[in-house]
Amino acid sequence: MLNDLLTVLPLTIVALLGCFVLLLDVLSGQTDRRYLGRITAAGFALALGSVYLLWGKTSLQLESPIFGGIMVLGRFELLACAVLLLIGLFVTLMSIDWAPEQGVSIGELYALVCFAVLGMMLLVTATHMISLFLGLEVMSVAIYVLAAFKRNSPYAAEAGMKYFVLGAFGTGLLLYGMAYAYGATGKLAFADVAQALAGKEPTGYVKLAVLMLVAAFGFKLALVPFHMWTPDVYEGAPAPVTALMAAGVKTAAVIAAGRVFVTALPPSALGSLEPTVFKILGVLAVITMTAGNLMALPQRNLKRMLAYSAVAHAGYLLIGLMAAHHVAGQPQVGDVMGALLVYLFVYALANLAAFAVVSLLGGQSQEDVSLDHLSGLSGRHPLGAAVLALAMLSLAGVPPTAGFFGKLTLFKEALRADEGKFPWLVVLAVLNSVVSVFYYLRVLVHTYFRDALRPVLLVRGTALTLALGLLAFLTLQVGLFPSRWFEATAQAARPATTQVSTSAAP
Amino acid sequence: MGAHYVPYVPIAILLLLACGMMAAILVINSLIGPKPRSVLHNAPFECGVEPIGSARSRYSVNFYLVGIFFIVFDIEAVFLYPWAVLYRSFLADPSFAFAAVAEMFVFVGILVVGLVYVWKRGALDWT
Repeated sequence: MLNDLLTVLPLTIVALLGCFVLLLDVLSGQTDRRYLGRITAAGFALALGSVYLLWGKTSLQLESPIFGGIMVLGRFELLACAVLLLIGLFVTLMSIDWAPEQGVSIGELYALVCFAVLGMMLLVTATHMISLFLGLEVMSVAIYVLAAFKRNSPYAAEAGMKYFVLGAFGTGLLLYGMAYAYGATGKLAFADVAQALAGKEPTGYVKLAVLMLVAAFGFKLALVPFHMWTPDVYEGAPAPVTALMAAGVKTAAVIAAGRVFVTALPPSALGSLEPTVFKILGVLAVITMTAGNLMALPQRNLKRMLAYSAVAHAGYLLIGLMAAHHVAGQPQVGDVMGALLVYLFVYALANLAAFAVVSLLGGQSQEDVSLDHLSGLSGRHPLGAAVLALAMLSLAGVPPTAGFFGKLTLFKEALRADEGKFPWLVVLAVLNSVVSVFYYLRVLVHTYFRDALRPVLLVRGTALTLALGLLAFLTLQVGLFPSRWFEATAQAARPATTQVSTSAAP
Repeated sequence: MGAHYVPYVPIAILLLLACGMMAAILVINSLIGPKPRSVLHNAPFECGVEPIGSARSRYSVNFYLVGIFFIVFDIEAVFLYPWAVLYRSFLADPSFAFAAVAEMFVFVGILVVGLVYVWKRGALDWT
């Protein structure tokens, strides 16, 4: 029991931080809420410290399931939590100076960011249907509110409403999928579900469950037939919240989907259904990357462009998920999940950087950031322009930045895992990356080679500058010295492998 | 109709009677009742006082704050009841007894945070 409580220390810290910030805001009654943001940032840093502390603790049985097998917080999950905490930290830092400029000096902002990050951490540690659902809801409800946070902006209201309706629909599908899986097996823990299904011919209930789970994660990950909400929500939601959605929700949802399709529904459990599932996922991956990239090409609004780019990246990530699903139960699955986490980390860094620059351009309630607003940014705010350039190069996967190593690792692991079964998917992904370079580099052209067309008011503040600087540093650090980061994921992959393979064995 | 349904026949008859009575009262009333037509008769009845202003004015019920109140008190009760019913069986396992109490205190503690929040936000201040 004590072991379990110590292991979830990062989650406890974030939960307490959220409650503390919420109460502090109503009890102190101050109208300038920047201090709340600073406290929240410090709290996230503290939680990151606790992750570091747990990483080195060998006395705790980190890799074993905790709280009766509803969650696990091994090294892999600790790394994922660290990524999520980092995302929370950066979102807080970019909100501190942005919020007063936008006229949303509301203290709940920081508490909701804490609760959203808490939900994400629950989501990546869940090994049980109920804890998965709980994490998803804690995360989603906080983000529904955050999306509509600029209450007097019609765009934000539209974004909140669309995200809520489609998010609730996706959650409903997930719940139905879980219910059918429970009906077919009588089990809720992922490993038990796999065990109950193994070696049996899949019944209609199992087919329905798989279909609904694929559709539900399709909504959460913005895969192509389920992506309709993405551009509107990304455009309407406030920039720091969009950063939280693009970086945090994606990270948490990909890892949760990976865990479901590796430990609850591995190929051994799907039996004769496996080729069909494989085909569905493959088709989804292809249309997601292709449609995402093609639709991003004509976008002139930076947030919409990043939304379609998020769709395209969901397609690349789905290849990684397919590879992890394919090698479920083998030692290699740890490496594939590690590669996914590396990709998610560098993707999160690039997105945070891009949305930090969008926040930077959000002076005096400015909401839309089109390519014209970026013209001449290099002269007025060299740091912002440089960070945006790094983010775009990283998203495109150009070598000196982190994005290159993310793509390299993911595609390498996917090729290694597929045993020649789907190299064409990776080839298509690489071709798609080439297409994407066009719209990423167009942002650079506007930032560096065009003169300013219209005056844009910039948000000035130390916290935002700090966030921009740190993000630039991390993007370059991961890109230039990737070995340290890969060592960490490799270290995390080993125990994760054993845990997954023993629990998923029939 | 099987013998299984026989005990329910009186209920069905009562149902029919109730529906018939309701329909009859409405229909007969509109057929043979007096129908006075004047402005006064169409005005809403307010204890004999002349109505002032429109009845369709908007007033704030602080909906989401009331919603939080509902969750704080209702959900608390929903979870406390089964916990209280099963409490004796939790005590049978001494290693779990303390956790059973502590967990409920944590749960109520989280709800107290919500309560303090809505209170201080002015949910009880209806003006």
